Amino acid sequence: MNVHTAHRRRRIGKRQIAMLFKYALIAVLCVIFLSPFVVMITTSFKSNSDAFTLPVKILPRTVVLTNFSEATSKIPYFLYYRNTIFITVLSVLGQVLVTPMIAYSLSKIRWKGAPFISGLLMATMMIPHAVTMIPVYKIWSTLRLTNTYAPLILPCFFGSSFNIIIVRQFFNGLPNSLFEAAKIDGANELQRYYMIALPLSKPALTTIGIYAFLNAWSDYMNPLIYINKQEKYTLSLGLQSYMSQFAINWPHLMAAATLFVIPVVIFFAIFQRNFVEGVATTGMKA
Amino acid sequence: MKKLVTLALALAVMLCGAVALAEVSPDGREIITFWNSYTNVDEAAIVRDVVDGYNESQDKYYVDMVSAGSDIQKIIVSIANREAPDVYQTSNATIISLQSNGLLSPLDDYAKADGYDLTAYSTQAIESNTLDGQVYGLLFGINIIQMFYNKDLLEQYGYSEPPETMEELYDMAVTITSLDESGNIDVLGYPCFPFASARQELIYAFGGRWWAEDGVTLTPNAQGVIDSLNMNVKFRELYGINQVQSFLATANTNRYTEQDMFFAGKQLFRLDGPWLASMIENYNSDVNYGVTLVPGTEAHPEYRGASRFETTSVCIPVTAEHKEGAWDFMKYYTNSEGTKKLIIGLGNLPAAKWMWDDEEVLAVPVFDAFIEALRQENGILYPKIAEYSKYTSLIEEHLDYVYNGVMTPEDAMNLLYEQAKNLQ
Amino acid sequence: MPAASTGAQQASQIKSMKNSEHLRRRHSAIEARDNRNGFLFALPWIIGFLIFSVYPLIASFYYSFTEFNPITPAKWIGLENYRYIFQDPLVAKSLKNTLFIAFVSTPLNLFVALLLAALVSSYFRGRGLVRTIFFLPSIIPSVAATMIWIWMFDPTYGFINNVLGMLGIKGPAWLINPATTKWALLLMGTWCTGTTMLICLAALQDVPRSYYESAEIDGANAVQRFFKITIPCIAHVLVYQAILGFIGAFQYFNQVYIITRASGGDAYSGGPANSILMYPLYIFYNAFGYFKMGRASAMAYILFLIIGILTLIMTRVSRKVTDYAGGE
Repeated sequence: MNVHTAHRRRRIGKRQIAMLFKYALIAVLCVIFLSPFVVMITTSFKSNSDAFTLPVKILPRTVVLTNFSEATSKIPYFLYYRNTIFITVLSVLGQVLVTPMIAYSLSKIRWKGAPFISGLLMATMMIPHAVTMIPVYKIWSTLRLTNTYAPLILPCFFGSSFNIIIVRQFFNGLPNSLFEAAKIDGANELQRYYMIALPLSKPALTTIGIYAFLNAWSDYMNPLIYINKQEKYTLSLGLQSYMSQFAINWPHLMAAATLFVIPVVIFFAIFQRNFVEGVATTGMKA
Repeated sequence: MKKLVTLALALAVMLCGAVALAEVSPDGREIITFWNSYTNVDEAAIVRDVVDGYNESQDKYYVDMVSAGSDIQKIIVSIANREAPDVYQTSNATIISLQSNGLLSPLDDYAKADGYDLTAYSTQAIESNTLDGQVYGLLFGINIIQMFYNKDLLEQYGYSEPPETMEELYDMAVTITSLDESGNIDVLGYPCFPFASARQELIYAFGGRWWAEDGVTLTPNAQGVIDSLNMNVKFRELYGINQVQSFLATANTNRYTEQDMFFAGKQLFRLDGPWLASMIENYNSDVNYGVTLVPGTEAHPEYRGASRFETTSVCIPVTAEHKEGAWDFMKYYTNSEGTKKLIIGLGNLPAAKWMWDDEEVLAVPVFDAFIEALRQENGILYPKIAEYSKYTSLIEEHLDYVYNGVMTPEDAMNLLYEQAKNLQ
Repeated sequence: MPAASTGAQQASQIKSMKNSEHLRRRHSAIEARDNRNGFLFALPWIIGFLIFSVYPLIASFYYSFTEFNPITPAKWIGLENYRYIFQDPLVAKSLKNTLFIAFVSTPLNLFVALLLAALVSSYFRGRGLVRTIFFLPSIIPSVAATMIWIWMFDPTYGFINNVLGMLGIKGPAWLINPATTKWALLLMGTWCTGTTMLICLAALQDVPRSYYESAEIDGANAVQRFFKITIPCIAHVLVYQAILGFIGAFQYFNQVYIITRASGGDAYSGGPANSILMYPLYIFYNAFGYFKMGRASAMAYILFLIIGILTLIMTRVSRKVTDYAGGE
């Protein structure tokens, strides 16, 4: 009896230490993961001389608000904002419009091409961007569509493998009987897609919508290749061109970066639940 | 949903449609597109002012200025697409590189037809924009390097004159370099920064060259190069390679900002261009500086004053559609009262020789000393080999091996020699 | 619900009458219609696939045997590009850099993601917030993220070396010393493992509780349980993530491009001693800097081949691992 309690007490002690260790680890990791955000935000309120004074302080010695106005006036920042929003909205629209159609065809229509295409989806994800970059560039230039947003937006209207896999996996989870029943009731394919599949696929569409948003908002290489005129720059390009000039004023740059990051964080805050669930329930586990 | 589809299609169509519309100037003038690299609002405003001046000066052409950044692929793809600008501003090195691939229009015919005198510009400047006997770029600005030094620091340690040889410079550098209480370098004596000058002027000062006189043979293991690197390494080892590198990394982080190491009095010598002086003025830095020629060596004092010679040029891409107008604008841009505004506003040394005697130009800080050097016409021109930029990349790689103590100068330069053999 | 049951009835009726000739013809009519509908629904993808994958693959294969720059037509030069590539010291260098990143960052990121997922897999107060904190970095635009890190890596005024200094460690000159640049990249990479973490988390929560319970009864300790139950159960997820990680690593571009721009070096810089000259970056320089689009295409094809082989190997391994786990 006595031995038994002692044993139990020791076990509880060990477990508590393990828990303590775990929470300490979580706390440390949280600090590490947050620190770049903290550095970005606090630097954006520092003066340049403050940022380059030893000893380094996390918080600004005096709060400077002009970095934001400087950053947004040295480059046409809000124009870049508008351009980026334009591209992002159309890209999301394209993906959300087309992806479920394709996924539906692969999951809910029994046709000869479906297994073939499903196999190719994975394969296309493995093609490095570098291989297709030059010929695709030639296509757009032949169409005289470089230096427009067409090369950035139009491909979204053909669906991306990654998104299609997610939505297909979601459709696979919907019972076939649902569609069979509608078929008996005389609904044609388009109606079945439109009235049953689409309304049900909201969670999956939200997930891919978020992915499309993040991709378009952050895209760097495509604007770099296709956009020449400064008036048409996206935020990624604009920010980078601001940085690569002769001198880098870090507080200004951090202020610009903060403004760039804020919409993403807000967007994530709104859709957090959908996103986390989307990742968990959709087919990212293949 | 249907509405969404319609909306999306409509937008897509609009998107494509908007592209096809050509730009026409309001008063029916021929439009000349002009690309430059000034994405900074202040600099762009100076250039735009000059462009506006041109547009007002005549009524045949209208110049449309585009800030296209400095990424070289942008011009290449636009040439490929037949949507190239009519005038493109870039460096002489890029002009040679573009023309090595046949992407530019020669200018001699325009000059001849126009009776335009190219000797109005610095001889070396025109030469550095020439390939196979043809001129491909007109230019408004020249970049050369001299040595800025911190007068107060020198005086504090009892030196009244700046060094004339690298040996003198080394002694001063070692005397004046100081550490803070945590053992980090506080004041750097040896001019390891900027990196580009370390690769060039510090090497030239020892008579070292990356290529032979013929402009084709590559000579990375020349004695001058090795001598220069040996001194550089000696300094680095004296203070610790990591300490020096840390200082240099920070110097690079805040380069040309208000906190720049030289402006903050933490760098004794600085091999840099005339813009440094304009910045010191703009930032109200109280650094007490002087300018002198890059030193030579004890054995070869005649190496003194060696500097790279680069130009800021404008050229006409081979697929440009308005070449006549482009030529007309280029003349104004590089050789007029407008050019003078550009020179003074941007802190570039003038290429058109008449400005060398202009009082307003000479009033710009340190311009007198730099223009004096320009008159010598003894700058070091880049070799006109097609793979020059790749060679530079290889040079930098092997210099980094030396700087970081991975290899001795001899080993690194011999390896570089082997690797550069295949370059065209 | 009633509709569903009628559907099921109807389906069984159809099955029983399958012999009828009439129905067979109807069946083939349905088949034809399904084929047509399926095709039409998938048409956007098929068009996109032909334009953005099939054609470019063929075209760039052809280009890889030619010399062409933007304005001159492609000129057939046979294997010259491939010969040049095997001699170019920078190709070897960039391939080495990329392989290093791929083989170190993939397992490292997977490990970190798994660790983070394990930490937030059981409930505690504030778990949602912690999960958000771990995840958030992965959605930050790479341009912004890279800039923040460049600033943090400054040896004197940067956050990292100052924190290390407080711990009594003298930090290196991260982005200027060729020995540390890649570790800086790896550090940036682990910060962005959020998506992988979420997937690992979902996989962890799919492992049936009962497995752990019975193992605990058998006296297995936490470490044993982790290796005997957790790892086999989520192995398929890990392998899939590893494949994606590899593909990502072989396409590593944005971060190094931005770092080389920020350091103010020349236009074709590959960082200190070309230590962060990644293979895709070098392809980009060849295509859009040196005007050697044919050579760039050949380099890209070699990359394609490497990714293909690696993926094949990993899929094989994955199948074995999954079979093994399934067998348990």
